[in-house]
Amino acid sequence: MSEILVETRNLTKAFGKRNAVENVNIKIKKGSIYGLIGKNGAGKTTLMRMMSGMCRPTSGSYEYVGCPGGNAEAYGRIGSLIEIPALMPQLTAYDNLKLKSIAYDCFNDGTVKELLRIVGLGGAGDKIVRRFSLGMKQRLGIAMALVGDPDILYLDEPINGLDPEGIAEIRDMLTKVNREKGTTIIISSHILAELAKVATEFAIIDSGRIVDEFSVDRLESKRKGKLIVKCADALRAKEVLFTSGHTDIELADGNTLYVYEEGDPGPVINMEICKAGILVYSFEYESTDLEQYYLDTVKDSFREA
Amino acid sequence: MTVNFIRMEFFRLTKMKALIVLPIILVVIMFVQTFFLLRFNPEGALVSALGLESVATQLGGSSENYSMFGKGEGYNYTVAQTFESNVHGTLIILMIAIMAALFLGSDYATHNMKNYPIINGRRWVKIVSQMAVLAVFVLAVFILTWIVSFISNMIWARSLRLGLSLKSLRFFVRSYLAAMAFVSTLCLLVTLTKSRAGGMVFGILIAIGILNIPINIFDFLLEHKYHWKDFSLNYLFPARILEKVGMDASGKVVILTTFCAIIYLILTFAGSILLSSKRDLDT
Repeated sequence: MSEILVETRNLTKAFGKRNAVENVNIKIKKGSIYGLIGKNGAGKTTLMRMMSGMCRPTSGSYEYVGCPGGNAEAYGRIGSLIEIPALMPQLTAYDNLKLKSIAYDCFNDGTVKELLRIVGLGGAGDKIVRRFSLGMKQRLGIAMALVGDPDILYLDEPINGLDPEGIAEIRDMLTKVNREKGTTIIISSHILAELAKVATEFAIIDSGRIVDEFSVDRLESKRKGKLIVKCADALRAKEVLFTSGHTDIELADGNTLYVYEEGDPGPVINMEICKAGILVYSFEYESTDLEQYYLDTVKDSFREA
Repeated sequence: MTVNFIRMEFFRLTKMKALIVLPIILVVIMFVQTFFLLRFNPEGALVSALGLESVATQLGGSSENYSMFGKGEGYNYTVAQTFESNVHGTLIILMIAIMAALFLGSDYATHNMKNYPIINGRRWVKIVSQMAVLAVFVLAVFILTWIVSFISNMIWARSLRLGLSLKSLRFFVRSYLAAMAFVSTLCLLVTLTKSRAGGMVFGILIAIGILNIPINIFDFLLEHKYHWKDFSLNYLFPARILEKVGMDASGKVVILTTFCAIIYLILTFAGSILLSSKRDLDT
């Protein structure tokens, strides 16, 4: 099992009488890319702000158990882009990075230029930030987060305002940083398709509470969990399958069956129905992508509440 | 870490346009002011305005005494005295207020602090580094004022005499302390309001003398009702100490004002640190 980097215990943040984050208990593994999913106001940003040390929890705690020096050391190893990028508008992109590099005692002309190149601002280093577009500011914000080669990156909606090419570049860059340097990345995004491409662990947050935490493997298995079988006599096919041990079956209509099963049961089921002399028109797995999974989970959580 | 942050804040200060613009304005206006101090003759101006130069000369006066620009009030001043006059003007305190408010407030305007999770739990590092940089800036302003005074005296005074003495050195140190106490108060105000504008408004209002009227009324009452001759409320406010307490102040006043400046400096500095440490990093 991978080493845990940070663990939260009943982490709660209240603004007035409203809990923006409520009793959050999560464990983030070292070297993972942890995707936080939730609608606007769900508590993603507040949770990230707390865990990155930017605001204090109302109750509960978090601990960087994977850092030998604990939280104090972790704060020095955190890079973050939470909400809007914090930039000095009157300075150039290069000078903004230089400022943080000096404070982190890691200023080197080559490194700053390399950071600009990585985020696609190689030719804009000497431009005043005030004249930057939203996307350029976002890229520079990511570069700022990367100053000092952090071990932990908090990125809140990092691809906001980026063009498709920029999104792909940032995605590749994050994957590369994670793979090559082992940087743990905690990331939130509304673009779930993009998040699904980079994250290895996910948490769904709704109304300040974590309603599900799962790995990319579980999402993958969920994708293959629902088999849709279209055949000549769905009712008889259901009986056949039931007697052969497939119990989780739902009859949709006279010609359609849903079979819920982990793994890849398609070929076996097809064979059993065919053996019973029932004509199979088609069978396919319902594609449960991250978005669908998120919507289903939130719906379930709402029902339970 | 503190040293790195001081270096960073220095770099940020050097990148501010105001660092070039404000000293230029300061030097130009100070030269004009000093010229008037050393060379402008009000009597001569009056005579000149009435067109009576020839009459005055015939009556036995020297033509130099009756020209508008000749021997000013500070014609015989030493450099130290010219420096004292320049420090007493509102210009220096105004420039320091604007620069300090811009410098301190930009962190709040840009939410720059959230780029530095490393100082989480150690917000004092930011306050200490900013105050260290402003201490150097204020010192530079004082040195610049001294240089302007020196050049002015070289050109317009009767003779170039430095006038360096223990008294003038004490004045320099006391004025510097008062200026730093003012900057520290401004720092507290900016931290309190989390706003560049808040600091600047406070700084400008104080610099242009918003406290003058209430202080003068209070002083009047003290003097005439309670017969307090040696005391002025001016001695209790850093900005007023800077503008009012000169080289020739009595020993009692020197001690009181120096002590007052130090108390302000310590309390407001501690206040800023306490206030910021109570806050979240990104607010």
